[in-house]
Amino acid sequence: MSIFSRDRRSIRAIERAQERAQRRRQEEERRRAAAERKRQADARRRAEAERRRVERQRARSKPSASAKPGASAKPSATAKPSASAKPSASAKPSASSSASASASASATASATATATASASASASASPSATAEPTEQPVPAPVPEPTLHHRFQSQVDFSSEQLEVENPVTEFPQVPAFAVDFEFHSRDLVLDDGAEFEMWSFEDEQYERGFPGPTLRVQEGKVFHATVHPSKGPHTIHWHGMEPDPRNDGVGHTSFEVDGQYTYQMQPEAGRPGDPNYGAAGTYFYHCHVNTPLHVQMGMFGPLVIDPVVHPDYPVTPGARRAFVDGPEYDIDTEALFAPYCVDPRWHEMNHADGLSGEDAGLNRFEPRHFYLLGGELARRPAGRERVWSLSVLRANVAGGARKPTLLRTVNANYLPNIVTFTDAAGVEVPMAELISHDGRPFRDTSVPGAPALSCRDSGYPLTTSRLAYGAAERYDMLLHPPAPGRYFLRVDWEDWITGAVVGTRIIPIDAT
Amino acid sequence: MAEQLPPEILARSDLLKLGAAAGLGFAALPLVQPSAPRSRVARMPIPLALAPLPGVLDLYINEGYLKMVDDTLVYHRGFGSRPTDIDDPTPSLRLDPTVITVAGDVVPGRSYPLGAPLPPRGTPTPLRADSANPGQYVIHRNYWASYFPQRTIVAELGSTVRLRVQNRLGKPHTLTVHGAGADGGDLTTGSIAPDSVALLEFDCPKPGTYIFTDPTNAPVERVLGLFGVLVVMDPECQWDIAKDRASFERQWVWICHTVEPRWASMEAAGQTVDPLQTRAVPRYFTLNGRSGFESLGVTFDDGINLATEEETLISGYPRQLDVRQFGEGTELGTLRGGQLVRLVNAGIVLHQMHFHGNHIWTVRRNNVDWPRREGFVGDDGHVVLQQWEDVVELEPMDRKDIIIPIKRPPDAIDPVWFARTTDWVYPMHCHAEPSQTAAGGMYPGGLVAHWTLKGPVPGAAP
Repeated sequence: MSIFSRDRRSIRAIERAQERAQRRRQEEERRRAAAERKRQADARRRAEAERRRVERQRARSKPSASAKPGASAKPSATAKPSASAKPSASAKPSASSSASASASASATASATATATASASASASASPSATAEPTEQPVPAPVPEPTLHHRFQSQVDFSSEQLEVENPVTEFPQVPAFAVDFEFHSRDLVLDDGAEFEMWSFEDEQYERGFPGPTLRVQEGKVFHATVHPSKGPHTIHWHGMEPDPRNDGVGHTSFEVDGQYTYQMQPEAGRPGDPNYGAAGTYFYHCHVNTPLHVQMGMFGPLVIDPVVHPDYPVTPGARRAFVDGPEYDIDTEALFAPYCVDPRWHEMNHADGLSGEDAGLNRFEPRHFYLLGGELARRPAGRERVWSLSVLRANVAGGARKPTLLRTVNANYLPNIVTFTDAAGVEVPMAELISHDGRPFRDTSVPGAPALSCRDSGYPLTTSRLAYGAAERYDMLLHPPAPGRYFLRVDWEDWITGAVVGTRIIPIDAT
Repeated sequence: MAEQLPPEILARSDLLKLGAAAGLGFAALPLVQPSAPRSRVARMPIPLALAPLPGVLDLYINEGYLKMVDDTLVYHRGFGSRPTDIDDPTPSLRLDPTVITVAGDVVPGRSYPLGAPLPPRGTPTPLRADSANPGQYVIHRNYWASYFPQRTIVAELGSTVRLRVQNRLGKPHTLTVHGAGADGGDLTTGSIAPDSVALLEFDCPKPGTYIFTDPTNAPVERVLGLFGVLVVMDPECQWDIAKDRASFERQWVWICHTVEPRWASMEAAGQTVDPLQTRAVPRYFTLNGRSGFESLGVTFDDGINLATEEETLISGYPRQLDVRQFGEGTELGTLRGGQLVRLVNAGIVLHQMHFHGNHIWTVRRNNVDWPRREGFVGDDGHVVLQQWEDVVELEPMDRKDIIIPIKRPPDAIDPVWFARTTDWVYPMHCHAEPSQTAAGGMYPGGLVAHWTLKGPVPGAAP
């Protein structure tokens, strides 16, 4: 069912055609302006490169301190990359990182030599312990300037972000996993029958769908994602992942991408009992250009980082661990949901609305349609123009032979949400055990130096019937329905000022 | 027991006797006999500045127009440091930062601890390179001062806080320090009539972060700008959140606020906003009073840029740390810890503070320490346990203390990290994205900041 009549749709189609033509014209104008800005930026970069070159020369001419990683630490043409990108399974920081490039860096990993008794707890290793670069030697590139420029006005700042046609990926490695994302724009019908213009990312598997393709990457392995924007510049920010700024996907601290760019990062590997390491968990990626609009238009998708497998924490067939020393869960019923809502007015806007100083009303987000995106991760339907909507969840009953169900949630929404688990009568059931937040496990960190066990292993699982969270937060939770039967997941959306409930969706959970 | 303060001669020749004001007490003393409520424009003459009193911090409830990031002027009220009128081109609507010492001194100044070295452009420089961890540095402990933004009072534990508040406006106003009472309740001047002065005197509460506001017709007067922050420090632990709590290299106070120009213009016109009748539609979102490119320090105004770097834009050198213990480093005088950020939401929208580059470690909410063990999920659905987050939920009137580690971004590949020659700059922004706008657009023109992982120090041995 559509909220628009057929007549309305055909008028919309005409309007769309007109808009597209207008957009093309605007786009051409914008590109002309961008080309001019690019010329200026290139000139700035050349000057900056020259300055840096002179600085480097000057630095080289000085005698360098002996402790410097020096030629061997700096990736050089002579660095021999290791062919194996295997995740380090060792809990101990290993100094075995392949190439001589990082040997001296890693060799210093055991940083506790001078530790006092009270502090010896900490400092376990340098972060390089699990990184195994498989470097392809390239000359050291010159980064684009970041925040070195000043602006006369907010309008100038908003409309003059650095756009780069094809930025260079520094020190490209051989990735363990790589994807290519195109931008797409489509009218899509969501699960309440409403149809909106949506923008998102697509690949060959999830063509013109929404949300963007689901990505799963393993800790310790290099990951590449190439974005091919169209209809204006875009970026991909890997929300919660923490690479260098060029790979962080934010225009004003790096660049917006016109042509294409390959983001590169290596999710940090976890170490059992160590709260300072490990990236395994739930994330999402999204465009960071004119962000309020682009994310609302749908330019986001889920990202899951799976842990390295540690010999002390083997994994049962059919199960996975949520983090390196985390609990096992049942792969078959693992699911994800993402609260999302739509303000229809926003879906009539254009790429750069508001950036030139006009009042686009982007401070007013008044959603009328409320959605729970997602479903079972093993069964996301592929194909064209599919909207991944949550209709039902399965969960394994507590105490059964199967591992518990893991439910991941990404808040892809601008309003706060309350999640409540109830039985069929609406009575709250404390069946959710929160195990991670924002890609980091909940741990007992009370004893310096002692292993920081997960909350469940410390004897106080974070069990609840209710979870409050807001924009961009993620939680991972195990479900423990006490008995077979039907339960419900209720999600309420609250006004960001008054806290009044403005929308609700309820999804059945079938426990067997 | 009421404390009798000495009589005070005001410049306008009205004799003001300051009355009982000890503990929770207050005095609201009219400078002139109150008559029927008068409109703002009819009120004459404007009272002049109060003569200073030792050990007393004077605040003036002023009105005026403040320039937003798009140069729009919006009517504001505020607790200022000097008396100004509505037509003043530089109205005093944001208290200048002030330190109240345990010795009873009221010291105007932007930094604390008093006498500690000021970090250059806000950035604490490290002790030396960390030979055990290439690319990282050993950090000074108990060394650097911190800069504080406008609207901040720093009071030392053990001090007596004396706030003398002059209401220069046409309607009654109040100053209330929320949650600072001995029982955790509010401390308030009570209603201060137009042209009157009140004294609020109280024993400094326990170390923490407190908001003071005018709760009249809440939240309207707060939205108009009548708010500030009281930071309480233990003078014996000037680089710790509190005794036996997390140590930090330096601290930052981030005060979030929302500006509602429709409400402002209604109040400027003499109307009283009914917040239920006229729904708030915030149009500007500020951090320490600035938005967008001003909050990021990329203007052509060197003064704004420098103040922003000193007060708001977190920066530091990468270091090795362990969240299990923010304390003494591997040798005396060094710190194994990060920097403290006091997140304060004096506005009316729920913020979702997202840090790029490093997860942050949340240690307390509203001056209540979160445990490191035996955490739980509260009835409201929030986890009560110290934890890593990359988005910190900040409800209106909430305060959260977080430690930003300032460490190597964990997912950067080794070759890029070891080839680093420059600063790495990471955004911080609210992820409730409408707050990223100014005047309905101009992304990123709202509540934004960034933090800088400083680049290698030339010549420092790695």
